[in-house]
Amino acid sequence: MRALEEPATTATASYLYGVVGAGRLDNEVLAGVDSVDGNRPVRLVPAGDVAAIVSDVQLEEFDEETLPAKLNDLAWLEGTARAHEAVLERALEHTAVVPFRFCTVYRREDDLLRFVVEREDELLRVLAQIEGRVELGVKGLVARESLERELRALTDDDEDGAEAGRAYLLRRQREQRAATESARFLGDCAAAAHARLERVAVASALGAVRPPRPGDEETMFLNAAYLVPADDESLAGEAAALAAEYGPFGIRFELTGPWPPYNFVPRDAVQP
Amino acid sequence: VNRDERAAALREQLTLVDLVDRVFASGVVLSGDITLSVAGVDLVYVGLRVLLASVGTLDRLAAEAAA
Repeated sequence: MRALEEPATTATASYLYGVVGAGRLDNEVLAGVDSVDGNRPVRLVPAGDVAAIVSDVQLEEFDEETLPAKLNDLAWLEGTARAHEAVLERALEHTAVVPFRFCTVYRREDDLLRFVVEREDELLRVLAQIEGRVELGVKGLVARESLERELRALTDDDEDGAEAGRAYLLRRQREQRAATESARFLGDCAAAAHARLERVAVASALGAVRPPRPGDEETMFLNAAYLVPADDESLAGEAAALAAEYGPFGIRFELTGPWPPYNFVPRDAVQP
Repeated sequence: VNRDERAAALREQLTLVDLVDRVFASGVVLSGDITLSVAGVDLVYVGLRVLLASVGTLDRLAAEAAA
């Protein structure tokens, strides 16, 4: 007969996905969704007026020493990140959820519970702010060659008839001007787009743009997140209008989400 | 693997970049009484670097498939 208790070498820890209001979510809703470790169930741990969404994980998998190596394992990273998101999305289908950062793990469930109880007021305040709202992401992407071609066409100098050396210089100047112009154009475009999207959102957050990699056809010039009412189409409409206006310049706007409001919860919930 | 499947894989990977971008860089971040965490910013780059490198590979595959 197998021992019911797990051996000490497979000690468990508690993985915290997010926090919801007490009584807003049933354990049955979470029962069908895979946890980050694929077999231990996702469950609610009530803590006063809120409840934590947790699952047990193997301590050794999320240990500070092994985690960096795990993060370098693409299959592990993808599976775990998708599971983290799937759990939060399941909760989001039913109620507002405060998402916690990927791989927030407590050694003991008691520690997790104490943290949540201590932060109950703040968590309730955040829950009230995000109730009935979702996060949408908008990325502005540009095919630089198309943009520079368009801008060159707008400011074309006539080089016909110029001697070869002079034509070369003119061309060089024009190329440099196109690069400067396109940078300025993209800055203006990002500012204008963000201003228009912000108007139809409850809150907004600007993120860092991902640097271009060699061989990329498109460069990101805007990476923003907006908090909007869950059933409101205004932001999608505005993004489509922007895409239509800027499309001829090789620019498109990509809408992602709805996401749990990752960018609209306190970045640092604990200031000891 | 045909071209459509590759394109679909590429889209999936790009979505994964967005996902990792979000789950690593945002959400409630703990400091203080947490016993274990990836709170260190450099870990964000560990994960994203791996991911972007693999997207680069997929980009190449997609480009080859399109050629």
